[in-house]
Amino acid sequence: MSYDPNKWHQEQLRNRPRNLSSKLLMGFGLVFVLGCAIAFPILGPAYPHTSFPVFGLAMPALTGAAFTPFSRGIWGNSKSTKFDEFEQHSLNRAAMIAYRIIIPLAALLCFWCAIGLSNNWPIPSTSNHWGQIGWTFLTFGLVLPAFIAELIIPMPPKADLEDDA
Amino acid sequence: MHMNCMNTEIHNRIALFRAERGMTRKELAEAVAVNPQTIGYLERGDYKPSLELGMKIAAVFDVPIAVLFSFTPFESVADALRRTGEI
Repeated sequence: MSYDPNKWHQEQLRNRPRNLSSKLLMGFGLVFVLGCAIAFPILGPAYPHTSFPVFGLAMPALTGAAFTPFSRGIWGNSKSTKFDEFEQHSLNRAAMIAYRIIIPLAALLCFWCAIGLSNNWPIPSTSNHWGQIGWTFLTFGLVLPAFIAELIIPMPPKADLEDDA
Repeated sequence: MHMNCMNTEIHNRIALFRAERGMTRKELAEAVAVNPQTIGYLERGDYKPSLELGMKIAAVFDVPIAVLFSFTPFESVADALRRTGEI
C-alpha cells in the first residue's frame, strides 16, 4: 500500500483543531487588505500605473484561513469538508454576520464614489485600484465567515484538546 | 401545562455517562460522526444538539434520551447518593 499524501491531507483537514495564531493571522490579514484597498486610491495619483501584486496582499488572511477548521469547505474534498451540525450552525451564524459587514462596505464604496467624484475626493480610477478592491471583497467573502466563526465560538479548554489528542 | 421552550437551557449528562463508560471525547465523537471538539461544547452546554444527534448519543449509551437531556438541572451524583442513604 503506497503513501497517499492527499488522503492524509483530507484526514488532517477533518480533524484540524482550532488555534489562536490562525485567528490572529486572519484578523490582521483582513485589516491589512482593507487598509491597502483604501490607501491605493488615495496614493493613486502619485503612482497611477503601479502594478502591485494584489494577490500577495491577501496572503496573510488566506494563510490564516488555511489553518482554521471553519474554512475547510474551501480547501478539501466533499468527504473531508463535511461539517458536523455544531460547525454548520456556527458557520451559518458567522456567514450572516459577515454579510452584515460586507454589504455595508460595498454600499459605502458606491456612496463614496458617487459623492467623491463631484467633491474631488480620491476615488478608485485605474484597473489596479479596482483590482485591489475586487480582491479585497473576494478575500473578505472567503475569510470573514471563518474569522467570525473563530470569534463567536469560544476556544475549547486545554483539557479538551489534551483528551482529543 | 404550558412550557415556554424558546431560549430554554438544556442540561445534559453526557460527560457523566462518557466517564462511566470510560470513553474519550474522540471515541464518542467517532461513534456519532462529529468533531471531538463538538462533544466538548455539548458537555459544557455551549451548544444544544439536534434531536438526531441527541438520539445518536443516547443510542451509544443505550439509554432513553430523557435520561441524558433535561430542561431542568440534573441532581448531582453526590446528592443522589445522599438521598438514597448510600453516603
